[in-house]
Amino acid sequence: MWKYEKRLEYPVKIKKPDSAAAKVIITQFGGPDGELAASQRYLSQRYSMPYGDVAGLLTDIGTEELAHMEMVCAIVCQLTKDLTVDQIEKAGLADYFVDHTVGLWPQSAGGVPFSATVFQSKGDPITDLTEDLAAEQKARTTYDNILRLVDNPDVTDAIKFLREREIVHFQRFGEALRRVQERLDSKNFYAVNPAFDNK
Amino acid sequence: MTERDKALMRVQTCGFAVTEAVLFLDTHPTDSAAREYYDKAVKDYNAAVMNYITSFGPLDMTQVQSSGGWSWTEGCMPWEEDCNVEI
Repeated sequence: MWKYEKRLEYPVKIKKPDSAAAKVIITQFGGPDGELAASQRYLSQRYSMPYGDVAGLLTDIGTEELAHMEMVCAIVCQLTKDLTVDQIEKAGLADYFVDHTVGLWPQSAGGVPFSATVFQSKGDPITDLTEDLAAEQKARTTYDNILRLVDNPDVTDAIKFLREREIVHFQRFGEALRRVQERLDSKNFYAVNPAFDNK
Repeated sequence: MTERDKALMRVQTCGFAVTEAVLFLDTHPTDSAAREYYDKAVKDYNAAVMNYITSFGPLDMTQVQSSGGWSWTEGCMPWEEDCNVEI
């Protein structure tokens, strides 16, 4: 069960539209390392997590990712507000515009539609948490690349907040992986899948 | 900064403190200093929400004062520029 809170986690206030920035930032909505994938990864994995503390962490981080998806969408929404067709064409956004006008649709910067194939839910706690650690770093790198491409401080302020959250989530998943490993056979972490073999 | 901006900023600041404390406690459940931090953050957050919704409308669907009309869908949406605080 979720309840909507009518506010962003962190403010997004962009005064000037910029279709070139929107074209790359949309990848953090529907791209391979984006916030939609992040939220669905953790919220799918939690059902096979046999340890309540880690299932709780997956729920809490998955929930925060939904708030990050909303922030990314707010950034793209504000960056594409009141654009002229001329500005859209010059920024190479015509391909997107013809299918979606300036509505939000989950795709990567390269135009690839969102796909669940960008993440796994493997039903094995060690495997899933190791994927989650990589996912947080991939998202952090993507935000670093966005910061290399975009210099409008209204945009970079919110992007820097999102980047920082990837680092905190990575830290928490590292601790969760250690907590899971401590509960496994100390001679061999990989002897069993505690979500399946310990029946 | 308008009064609404100040009130919203307070909700966002206190809400973030709660989020951070919760994630930390998920992996450090026996840390008593973190639990104290959480207790204070939740108290501040609840007070900030109370302060906001009294003057500027509901933040969730259980906070609508329906005798005054249906305010849940009124006002700006969170993703709109006008709805957000300048940092």
